[in-house]
Amino acid sequence: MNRISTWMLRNTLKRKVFSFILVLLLCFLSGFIYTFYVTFRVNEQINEMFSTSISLKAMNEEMREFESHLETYLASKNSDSFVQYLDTYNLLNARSKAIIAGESPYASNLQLKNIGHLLEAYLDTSEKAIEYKRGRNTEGYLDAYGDLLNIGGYIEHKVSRLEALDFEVNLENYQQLTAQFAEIQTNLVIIAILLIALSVIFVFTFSVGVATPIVDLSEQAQAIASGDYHVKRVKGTHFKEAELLRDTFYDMASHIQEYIDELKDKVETENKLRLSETEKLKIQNSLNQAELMALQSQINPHFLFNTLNAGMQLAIIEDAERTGRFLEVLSALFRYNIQSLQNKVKLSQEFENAQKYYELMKVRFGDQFTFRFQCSPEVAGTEMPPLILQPIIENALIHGFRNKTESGLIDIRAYLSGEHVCVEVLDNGEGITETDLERLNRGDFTKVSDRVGHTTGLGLGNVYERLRHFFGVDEIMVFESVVSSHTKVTIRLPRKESESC
Amino acid sequence: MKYVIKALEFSIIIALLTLSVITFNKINQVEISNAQSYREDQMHLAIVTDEISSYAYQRFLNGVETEVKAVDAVYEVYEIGDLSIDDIVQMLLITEVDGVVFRLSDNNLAGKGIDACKEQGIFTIVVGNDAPESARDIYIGTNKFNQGRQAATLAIEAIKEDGNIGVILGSEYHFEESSVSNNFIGGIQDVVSKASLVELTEVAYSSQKRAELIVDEMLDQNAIDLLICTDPVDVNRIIRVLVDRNRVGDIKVIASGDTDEIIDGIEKNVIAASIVENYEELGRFSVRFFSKLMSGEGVSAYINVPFQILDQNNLGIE
Repeated sequence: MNRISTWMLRNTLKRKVFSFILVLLLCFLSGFIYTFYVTFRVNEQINEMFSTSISLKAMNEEMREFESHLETYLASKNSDSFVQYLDTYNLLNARSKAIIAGESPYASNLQLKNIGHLLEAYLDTSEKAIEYKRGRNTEGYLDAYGDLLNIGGYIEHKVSRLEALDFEVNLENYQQLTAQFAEIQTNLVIIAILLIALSVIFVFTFSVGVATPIVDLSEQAQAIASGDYHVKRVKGTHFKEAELLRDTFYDMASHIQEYIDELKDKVETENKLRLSETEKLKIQNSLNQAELMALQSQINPHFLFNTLNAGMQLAIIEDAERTGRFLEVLSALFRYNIQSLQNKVKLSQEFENAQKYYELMKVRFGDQFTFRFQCSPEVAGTEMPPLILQPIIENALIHGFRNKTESGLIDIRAYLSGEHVCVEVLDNGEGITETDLERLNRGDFTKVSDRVGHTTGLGLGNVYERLRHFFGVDEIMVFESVVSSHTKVTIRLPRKESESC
Repeated sequence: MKYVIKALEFSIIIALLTLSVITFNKINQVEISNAQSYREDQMHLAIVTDEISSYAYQRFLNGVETEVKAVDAVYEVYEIGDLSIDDIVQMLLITEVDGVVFRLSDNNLAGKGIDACKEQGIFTIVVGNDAPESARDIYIGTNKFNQGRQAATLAIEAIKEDGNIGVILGSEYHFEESSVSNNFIGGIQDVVSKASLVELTEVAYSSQKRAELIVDEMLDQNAIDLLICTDPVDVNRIIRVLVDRNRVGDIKVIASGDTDEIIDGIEKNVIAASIVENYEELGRFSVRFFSKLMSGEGVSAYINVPFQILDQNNLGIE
């Protein structure tokens, strides 16, 4: 029972189809039953109209037979006739009793009641006639037989009156029935039309109810087929299967979309990885190039150090202290420069190397250039790749003061700025044109790197790439310059917690 | 749209249900009526008559119809024609009626039958004219002699005591020998004989010849100045003839009955006056007194139903 009620309450296609067909069937069944009932009633009324006439006709026939048998018996006293007389007597007697006792459905008719009494008298008279006949009372039985015929005549008279009356009444009944059933017929036609209209509406709503979700889904499926996976979820109450189909369809579309997004992400990541690999290869290439250049400049470094040391000892023996010092600094600078570029150094070491470089440059250029060093103790321990500061200073010397006759000042500072360690190289040289400045800040060092001169051979491009690779950030070196005034190169190194001088 | 369809569905279902209920009721109300319903406990009255076509009979039957409903009785009519009075009485005895109303032109002819009924315990009432020799229980009727006298008085007044009077007796007056006819004509004669300048010159029966033809003949013979007519139907016919022959006013009319046409005739002075015999009352009294007999009440053996006079004074016309 529970299952049935659950099933009835559930809005499923099966239930919908079942209900639809059931409703239609019930509509037409009720129409059929209704028509059957009307026909039954008409038939019943017509039967009732003519039943009296039918009954009277049968009685008349029985009376004729009865009289015939009685007459035969009275004439011949034939026992067969008597038996036949008794048979018809019983029939008529039963009919008379039924009418008088009110058992006949039409006993309520006064004339029929009279006929019943007359019939009873008729039968009684026949009995008298037979009694007289048996008593050999000829006069008596002839009188009785005469009376019987008279009563038969009365019955006939009553029957004809009743039939005439019945005809009048039935004619009225017929006219009344015709009028009433014409009205009923009109109602039935209207009922049939309404039933048809209701069925059409049911069929329409049913087909719309079933087709709408499927049509909606097919339209969205078409959109998916044309590549639009962003299906708008349409809400609506449909039958259970349609809702399941719709939800499953939306889930499927959503999963496809997710899968496609995933694939896109994957491809993007792979592209990024590929790019990163390329970058790595580029950096590696730069390093290799730099190392190669460093190696080229390290022709037998032990021989060079030994020779420089021998020169230094000679200078001590000959009391040439300045020469000795020069050779010592040069030897230290060479040692620093020939180390692997993949090593890690501290900012303080870079400053020391830069100071050595300045000492050598002072021997060469005298007071033409002044270097000022300022390193904040809190940033001195900052780790970084080697040979960063020297190439930048070399670049300032070579390009900043190429056409300048005045003495130059190169200010080298390192300080903490928020989350960064800033290393600045500021020269008061001839500056950089706006075009070059823009190119440098864009990370294009091609022109600069190609130049060779009095340098270690490591170009700014090499320095930039190593810094970027070491710290993993792009915008690490900023160039600022005003032509004929100054140029400032700022390296912004990301600070780590543990770093200190 | 959805709600429109729902509303349409709902309306159709309501219309269907309403129409179905209405039609169902209509089907169940369809009943054919039986010729005459009858219960065993109802009083069974038979009316024996020898004419069923007159105005008087129709009014009488109306009275019977009204009263049988009031006293819960049923009645049937036996017409003398195909069957003789003896046959009818025989049938009445066999069918065990409770009472018989004889309404014959001469109820004396049913004397034997009345006696036979009485022997069987059937109550008998005679209407219209008495059968004093029989064992009838009650006589109900109008005093025809008085009625004749009244008609004659009105007639003499109308013709200002000078002129010839003609009488056309309606279908309720069957033949010359009947006591009713004799009493009515006797009453007229009684009054006319006392007026020296008035004479009853013509007596005719419309049951034997149509009233129009009788009037035509009388007018041709120039035999009358006033007509006494006892049947309202005949009155209409007579008036038509007088209008056609442009004799309205020349020939005065004393009518019978209170039909619209007669009242209209009085108002227009085409008819001098009308004697209204209350036939319905006769019918009602027949059933009412039969009912009283059945219940054992003491009833007078002679019931008189009075008649009325209609003229311009009665109708409020100056």
